[in-house]
Formats: sequence, C-alpha cells, structure tokens
Amino acid sequence: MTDKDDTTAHIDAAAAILNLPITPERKENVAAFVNVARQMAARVEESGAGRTTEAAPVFRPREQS
Amino acid sequence: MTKKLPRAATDIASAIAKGELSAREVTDRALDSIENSDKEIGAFTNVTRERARAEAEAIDKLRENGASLPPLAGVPYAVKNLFDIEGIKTLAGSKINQDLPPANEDAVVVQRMKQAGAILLGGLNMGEFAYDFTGENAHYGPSRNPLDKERMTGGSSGGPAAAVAAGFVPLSLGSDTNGSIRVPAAFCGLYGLKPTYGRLPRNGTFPFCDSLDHVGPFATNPVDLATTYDALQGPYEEDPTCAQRPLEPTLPELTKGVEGLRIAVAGGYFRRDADQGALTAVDLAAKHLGATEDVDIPDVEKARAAAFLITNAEGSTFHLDSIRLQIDDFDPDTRDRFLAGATLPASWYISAQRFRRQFAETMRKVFQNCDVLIAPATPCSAPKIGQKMMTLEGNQVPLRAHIGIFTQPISFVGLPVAAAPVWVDDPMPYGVQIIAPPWREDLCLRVAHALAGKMVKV
Repeated sequence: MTDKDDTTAHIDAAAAILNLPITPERKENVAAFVNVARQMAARVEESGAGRTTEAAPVFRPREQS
Repeated sequence: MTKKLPRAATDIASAIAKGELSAREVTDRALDSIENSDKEIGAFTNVTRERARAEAEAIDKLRENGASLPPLAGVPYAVKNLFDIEGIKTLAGSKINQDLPPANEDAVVVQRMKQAGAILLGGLNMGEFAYDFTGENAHYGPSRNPLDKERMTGGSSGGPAAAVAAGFVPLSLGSDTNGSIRVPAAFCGLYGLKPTYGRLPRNGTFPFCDSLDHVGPFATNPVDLATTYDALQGPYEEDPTCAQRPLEPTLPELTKGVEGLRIAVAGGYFRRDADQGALTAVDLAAKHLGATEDVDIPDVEKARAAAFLITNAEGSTFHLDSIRLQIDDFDPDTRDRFLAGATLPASWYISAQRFRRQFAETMRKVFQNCDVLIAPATPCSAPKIGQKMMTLEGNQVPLRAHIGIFTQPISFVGLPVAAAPVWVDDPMPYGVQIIAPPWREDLCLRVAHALAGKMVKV
C-alpha cells in the first residue's frame, strides 16, 4: 500500500468508528490535512520524548472546601 | 470643531479624571465612529450601545461624587466574540453558536475590565472557533486591516486588532492559542501581550484548545498594554488552569529600561522562512537593544509540529458533536481541518504532550543564558485578503500554514510574549516577539517600552 492508500484507509476507518461525515467530496481535502498531521507526528516521534517524559498536563485534584 | 480624543487609553482616563472629558462623551464619540466607519472594516459583530452608555454614566457619576477613579475609568474597549458578554450570544466567529442562548454573565476578564472602569463597546469579529491566522470569516466577512483595507488583519483575533488600529477603541481583548494575538498585532502595527499560560483566567471564554489557550490585551502603546494587563491579573479559583498567583504589577517596572538585561536574538529556525522585512525588523530591534548574541534553539520545528497536533486533536474533539450534526454550518476553511483532527490517533497526541514537557525544559535552559529573546512575529507583513499562497525563500508555500510558524513554538510552552510593531521599508508594519521566561511578563513589557517610538527604520 502507498502512503496515500494508508491515509485513505485511516480516514475511512475513523469515519466509520467515530461517525464522522467525511463524504467523498471532502475526503481529498481531509486526507491532505491528515497527511500534514502525519508529517508533524513523525517529527515529534523523532524527539525521543519517550516513556520517561511525563506528558505536559498534570491533573491536580482540588481540595474539598 | 470637536476636539480630537486622545489616542492612548491612559490619556483618555487621565482627561476624564481631570474633568476635561466625560466618559459619556468619549463613549458616544466612539459609538459614532463605529457606526460611521465599521462597515468598511468589519471589526464589530455586536455593539453594546445601551450597556456602554450606562457604564459611562456610572463613571461620570463616580467622578461627580468625588470618588477616586479606577485606572481605566471611561476608556472604551471591546472583546473578541469568544468572550462572554452578558445578554449576548458568544459566537466565537461561528454560525453554529447562533443556536446557543445568550451568556448569563460576563467572562471573568470582562468583569475585571469593568472593575477597572473600562466601558465595553461590544463583541469583535474573529476567525471561526479561533482556528485561523488570517482574520477571514465565511459567515461574517473578513476583518479588514485599517492600514490597508485590501489586506488581512491576521487572526484569529482579527476584530480586536482592527478595532484598535482603526481607532474605534484604544484597547481590546483577544485570545492566542498559536499566535492569534501576536499575528494580528504585527499585521496591524499594534502592541499585544500573550501572558504566561495559566496567568489569566479563561472562565467565560469559548475554548479552542484547553492546553494552549491564552487571553490577553491589544493596545497602541506599552503603557496601555501594561495598565490593562495589570487590571486583568489575579487568581481565580474556578479556573483549574489559572495559576492562582498573586497580582504582580508590571506598570511600576515599565520604565526600568534594558540596562543589565541579557537580550538575545533567536537564530536558526527563526531566521529561515522569513522575508527580508521580517529579518530587518528583528535586526532593528536587536540594534536598539544592543542584543548581539544569536541563540539557535534546538527542536523548534518539533515544537511547532507538536503544537499543531495538540491543537488539531483537542479542537476537533471539542467540536465533535457539531462535526457530526452540523458539518455544513462550519466555515469551509476550518471544516476539513476539524474533520481531519477528529481522526488523529491518541498516540500522536500523547507524544506531542510528552514533547511539550521536554521542550519546556529546553527553553528553561535557553533562559539560563539570557533574560529575553527577540524573534520575528510573522514571516511576512499583512497579505492581501483572499491570498492563499506566499513566497518564502523563492518557494511558493501555503499561506495559512505558514503565518504562525514563529509564534506557534513559543506559545506551545506557554512563555509570555509581547508583540511590538516595527516599520521597515514596507508600507505595512512587521512585528517582533519579545519573549521571556514563565511569569516574567514584566520583562516583555519593559523591553517593549524601551523600544517604543524607536522602531522605524530611518
């Protein structure tokens, strides 16, 4: 499969699972944005911010007043 | 002939305090100006005439009674229409929010502006749901740049920048998730402040991306900016993101100058993909500040990438119900980005949040060797409305995706930034970002004040 096929398959599956109205006429444009996100994700994964790095948001339970 | 109103908010407040002007007169003249000229600009989506007149009369009564006036007494301002205004629907630039009931109280920062004596004139145009760098909007029309009406204001706080640059109000409030205060401030020749993430309460504002949303002011000068920011500060327990820090006034710090401050210029990433005007603007600021050292910050591209993913995933998840039920009511320029964001794998989002922690540490190390960083606000000056592509380093690149390349990595880790205008050999202004470590808005504003009035190439 090509990257293009992968993205299309991803969009079709996500649309079905999440009930997203990604109609055929919208699919090409949505795929373009998903592909940008893929490139961005690849860059982030190169950073090596792995399991030892805690994700930024920290939940702090609020004291009972 | 009617006497011209002062341009600066603090001059207006001073004239009202001395009895040279009444708040009602100032308000009526501002309302007339909006009525007569906003058709050409598209800054306002709601004008709150009755409320404005009532607030102005209350200020005039305070003065008549000899009470001491708060710092922004009688100063007109307006807010991006994602801030709740009691009795008005919070549109957030959308058609979809027209179905919501009117807000039943003001946003916390609007309440604080009222306590400071400012007079609310209305809600301002913006890019739909703040997912925008242009100031264009398919539902309400674009906000037009008052310096050249064929050009963009920048976004998503396009209306707040347009309203101040047009002279309708001396102050406005906007929001900034990836650059939405700093970009329009740069394109419209204004000062803007994006405070530290968590500094100002966001209660009563319509969210875009909780992890990255900030609110802040626009003004025509650093004194007004600091005065307004100080009025907005203070803890607010109901906002889990608000840092609950005590008031840390910046106005008394403003005139301390830059002597003793270690000011560096962001190099590397921040020197690429910028046009000559943007680079000249930074060089001019550096020259005036005596900043000679360049800092090449590692991993800035990754910071931008991670900010992109967090914004796309959180923004789309927030709008999931509307995406499913009202997709045709979205602005076509946001619709497919929200659809794409709704499909992103959780692992991409979590990796981006992990990297956020790592990049915050990177910046902490950078600030061990300097106190303030200077960087371009945008890679270009204001493009034409409707423009889709831009030329950078000889290549045609998509405009929307590139306007925020210099702002996005900075807000990603919540650093405070003042945007300051710079005029080079271009009919339109540029902006520089003045970046400081977390909670040091005072340094951003001090440096902005030191540059004020000097930022014209001669």
